Amino acid sequence: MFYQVNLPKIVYEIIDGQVIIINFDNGAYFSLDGTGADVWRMIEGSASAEEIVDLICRLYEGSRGEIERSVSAFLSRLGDEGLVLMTGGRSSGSPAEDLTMSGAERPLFEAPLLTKYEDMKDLLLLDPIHEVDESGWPVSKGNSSVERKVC
Amino acid sequence: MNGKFVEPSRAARASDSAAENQNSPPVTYFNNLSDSYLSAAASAGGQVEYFLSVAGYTIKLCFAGPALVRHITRALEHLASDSVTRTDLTVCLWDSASTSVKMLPPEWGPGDIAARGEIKGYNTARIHTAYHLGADTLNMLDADRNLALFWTRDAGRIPYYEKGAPLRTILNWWACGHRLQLVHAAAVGTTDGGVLIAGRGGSGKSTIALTCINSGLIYAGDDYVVIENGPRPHAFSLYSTGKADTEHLKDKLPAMFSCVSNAGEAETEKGLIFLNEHYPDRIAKGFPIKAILLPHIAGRETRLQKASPAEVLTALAPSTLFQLAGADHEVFRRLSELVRQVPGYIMEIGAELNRIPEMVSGLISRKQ
Repeated sequence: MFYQVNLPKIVYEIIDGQVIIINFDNGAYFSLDGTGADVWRMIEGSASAEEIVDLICRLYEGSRGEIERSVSAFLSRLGDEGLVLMTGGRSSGSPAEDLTMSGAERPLFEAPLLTKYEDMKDLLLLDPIHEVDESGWPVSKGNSSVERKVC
Repeated sequence: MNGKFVEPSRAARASDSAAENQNSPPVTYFNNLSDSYLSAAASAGGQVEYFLSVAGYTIKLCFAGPALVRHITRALEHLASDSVTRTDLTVCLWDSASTSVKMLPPEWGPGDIAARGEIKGYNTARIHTAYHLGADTLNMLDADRNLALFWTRDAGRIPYYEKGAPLRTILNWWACGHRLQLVHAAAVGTTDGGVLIAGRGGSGKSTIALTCINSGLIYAGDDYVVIENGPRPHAFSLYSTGKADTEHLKDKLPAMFSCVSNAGEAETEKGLIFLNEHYPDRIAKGFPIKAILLPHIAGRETRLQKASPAEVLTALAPSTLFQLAGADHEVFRRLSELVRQVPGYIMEIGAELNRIPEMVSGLISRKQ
């Protein structure tokens, strides 16, 4: 089983070692850094859970069992949030090969974290429209002076 | 000449050059809708033409009669242009209430309207379509013909926030095809350079921008500006409006409070100020972007600290992408490119608002 980024449902950018991901379907956005960003770099090119664990074990100091459990939970979370897909075969990409240790000592493994932000959900039309006029055009309910906006 | 009544023309309709199938549903609907516009203009006795200069491009607004003109152009008056050598985008605008022309029925159901208003099946490489619930506006762009259509049911019911930032969906689609990008940010500065101010509501974005307009700084926008990436990223003004909580203005910026256009609606609307009507010499067409500021109301001393590129992108990108129909990975990439090029700072806003302009000026004159 291989993991790949759920394109084009989501968009993402990697900047300064941090991954920022936007999910247009549910109005949430996310950030990843550290081990989470390393895992994402692997998924960018399509990777199996085993390949991801192998890489994290090479990059960080920690027990394989702990890394396997953390990575597995993290991948499940990414899937639950609709950020990655599981596929039977590898997509056209290949796992990131430029992820290497920069120093002689490997840093201690820390469980990857997905930080989720939901403060912009109100910007999106996430509820179905029910009311339309006689020609079929949607009609605003309530006060149209209330702005669908964050500022 | 702005505001002139003229006969509408079918010229744009006749000059199809698209590779996209002329009979595809989006193209056919667009063509039928442009016929509706012509009927509306005829019904209203002609069209009112209004020219804008945006980022060096000329945009022609054609109104079917006068009903929508003031609602749409008031925020854009600082961009009004009389000398026109070419037109880069034409937007046809009408409403059904004032023209008595019934709107074509939609060919899609309410369930086909996606989260940002895009109509499923009616967004292609050539045709862009979005319906905005709340404002109740239909927006379409034919990118091949640089021709756009804007319809609303009743000009008299255009909400205040649309008057403050009109046509942003159409302008964003069009800008994206011209290496420009709308961003959700304010911009203040000098003719030599300025800062983008990015942040969500309550962060102090409008406070910084509106405080600076009363100093020696100039103002390019409060909510959306157009950016152009390149060796020297540039911000271009789009709307000369400011918007903030009316009570906040009354308390902190009384000079601005006196300019609020909708003070009587303070319970349900933010205070909307048409700044070009009060500070015309302070409104800028644009400037090079020297830094990006992330405001944060801290209640302590007003001060600056460095922000990481990731912090800046997190403040700038989600609100831009979620609010603009059609914004995609390419837009994210452009914002990321901008953030890599210019430094970012967190501005902690304390009680001394008068320190803000000098700090912004200091940032602009700082050597990168």
